[in-house]
Amino acid sequence: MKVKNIFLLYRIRSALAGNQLIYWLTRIKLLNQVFTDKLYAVEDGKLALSMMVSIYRVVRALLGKALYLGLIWLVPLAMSDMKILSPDSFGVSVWIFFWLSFVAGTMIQPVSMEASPLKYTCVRQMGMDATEYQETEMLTHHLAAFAGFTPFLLLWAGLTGAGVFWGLMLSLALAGVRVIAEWFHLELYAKFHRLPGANGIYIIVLVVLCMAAAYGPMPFGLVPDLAQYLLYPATVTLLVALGCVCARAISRYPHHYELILETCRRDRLPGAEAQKKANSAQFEQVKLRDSDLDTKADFSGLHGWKYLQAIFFRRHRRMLLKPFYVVLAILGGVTVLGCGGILWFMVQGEGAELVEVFSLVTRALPMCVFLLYLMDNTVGERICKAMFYNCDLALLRYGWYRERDAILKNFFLRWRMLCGVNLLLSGAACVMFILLTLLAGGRPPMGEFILFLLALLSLGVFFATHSLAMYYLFQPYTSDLDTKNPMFKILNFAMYVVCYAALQVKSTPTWFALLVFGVTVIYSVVMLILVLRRAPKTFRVK
Amino acid sequence: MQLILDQITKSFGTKEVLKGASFTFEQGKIYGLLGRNGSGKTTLFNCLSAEFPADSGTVSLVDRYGQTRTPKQGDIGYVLFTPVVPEFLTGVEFVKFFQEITGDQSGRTPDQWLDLVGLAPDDGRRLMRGYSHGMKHKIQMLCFLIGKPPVILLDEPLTSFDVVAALEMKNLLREMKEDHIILFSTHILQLAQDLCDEIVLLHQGELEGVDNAKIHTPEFESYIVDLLTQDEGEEEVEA
Repeated sequence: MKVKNIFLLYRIRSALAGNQLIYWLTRIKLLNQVFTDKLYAVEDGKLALSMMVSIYRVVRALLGKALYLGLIWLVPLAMSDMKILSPDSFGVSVWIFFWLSFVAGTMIQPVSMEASPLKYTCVRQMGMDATEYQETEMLTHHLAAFAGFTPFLLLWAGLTGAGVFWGLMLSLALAGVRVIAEWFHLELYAKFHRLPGANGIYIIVLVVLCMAAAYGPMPFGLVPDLAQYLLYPATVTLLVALGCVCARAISRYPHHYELILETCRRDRLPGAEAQKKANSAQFEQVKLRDSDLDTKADFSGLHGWKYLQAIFFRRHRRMLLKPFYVVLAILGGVTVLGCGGILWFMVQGEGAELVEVFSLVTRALPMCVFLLYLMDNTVGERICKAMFYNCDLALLRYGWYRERDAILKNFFLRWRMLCGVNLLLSGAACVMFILLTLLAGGRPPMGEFILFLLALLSLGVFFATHSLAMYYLFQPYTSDLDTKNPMFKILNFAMYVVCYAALQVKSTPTWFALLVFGVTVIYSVVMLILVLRRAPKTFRVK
Repeated sequence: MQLILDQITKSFGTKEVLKGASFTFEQGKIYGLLGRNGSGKTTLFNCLSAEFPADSGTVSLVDRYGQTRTPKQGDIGYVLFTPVVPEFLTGVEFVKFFQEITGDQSGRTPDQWLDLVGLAPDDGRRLMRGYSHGMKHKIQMLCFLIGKPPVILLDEPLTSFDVVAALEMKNLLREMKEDHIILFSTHILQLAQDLCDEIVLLHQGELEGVDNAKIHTPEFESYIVDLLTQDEGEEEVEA
């Protein structure tokens, strides 16, 4: 291995990190007055930024190690009866550390198997020798990890009274095992062409088993005294010596390039391709299937925008109606169960209590606000994604589709359709409440009950307007299928918080129903006005 | 009809892509927009088609009576390098819909329109998600034939076509040009020579017409290369 490779990799990594930092600085308002994209070309400036990035990385690595050890040791020890700073706790921490760092940490993703953009750039694009790259990367990575862990392990061993020597032994043993694990994985690949780290199930099973092994014995006071065997100087010497032998075998390993070709496929890299794939996954549930696309339905009686929307909804009925049927089935099930329960209570002679309970049925409105939010939002969000992915992404590229009239005509056709779906759901909920109340003989005040039902229906219109208006006003999806509008996310989260907060409302039913009815009507009107004024400008593909 | 670009500028960060691009394009001609990679051809098209706004400058249309107006969205048709069509519709459904919203008075049926661009009736009844690149391009071109936007922008339109489809598209463009101002960007000089009535260079953020007499001469290639590299030579001398 050549020392120059260490510096070469450092320089490339720093340049990449420096460029990334410049990119982010140029995107922050106000800061972008100072940090312009001319910085990319200023070598001295980039060098300074690279050094800043390096310092930040060292600090981040040290803090990360401290946080990791604090989480895996201090939290469980604090929750146990054990005194935190005692030689016993050092023994327990070695046991935990063994399972999480020696086993899980080394077996999940060894450096040699990692799919990193840097590896791809250096070996596949710049033609660097694969063996030299792997050696350099493993050496720097494991040395950095050793340097990062050692101070904390020494400190911990000293504080617990076990003695700093044992902290050093623990750190050396880990370094040895890390290199052995690298060799083990390389051999596994050479013999069986296996990349265990690429298998999600393997990782989950490994993590669960290691967590169970690490923390399972603690509550029962059955933690084995592993430290006396693992940290015995002869054991540590053996592990370090084996590590050295493995390092030598790694430097003679003949399949590094083949392995990099396998691990650094573009789709496995955590870069743009993978991001695009991940972005696309959020539209998976709205992708059309061949079975959705029957071309036999007759739309000859419809024209223009109505014709387009009718075909759209017809061919998206699976994704629109499936959640609708699920919700209807749930409401139907609740109604049947409710009826059965009421009859059973009546047979038991507790009809008077039922009358009392169902006379207060309007108090269920806060809960209904949240439940209708969950139901309607699911349908609304899904259909908006389908509109974007299967229709607007293509048609918004045409000038005529972006004209004010076109956008508004389309919006109102879609709004009517979505309102219809939501009103059916709200209507089903109304029917359920009416049936159960009648059957139980509940006598809520008639005006209050009608207001309750009206509030349920208005919520249907409210959530339809919310979903669709948010889509038209913020159009959050990009042509790369990413969701890039913080305001869209913040406002949707705010809606969730408001609907959740409704559960806590202790107002009288009449006032609350009036409030819901009023707010839904005013919000819907405001959003529709905003759509009329703003959507022709905001409804674009970004 | 004329399309007049006056001092169009557009920057991304500190990079000035368009630095006051000005030119007047005439109806009945096909203009080839030539420029080096990254010269701003797609940016210019995006500004013209209102995909994003220019930083400054004006775009205006002058009709046959000399009336000047700012183009509306539907006045400029833009064909992207990768054609996009709503894939949940069949070709016939899309054409029918488009005829209705544009108030097509031609009296042609969707099948007749599709036939005009060489799409068979069976293809017209297939969902467009199964269409090839060339078929999608034809559907987009059909939109221009039906909608008749005064200005048509084509971004590298023929580079991904096979020879037959490319010839069909070229013929289609030639047939359409009388009613439109057609502007297409390309890197392929031969294509520009073959199809264009005029060549416009986008160089250093500005538009510049070239001597039409040279378009069909053997020296045309070296003439264009000289024009596109002229300033680089001067910069080197200055340096």
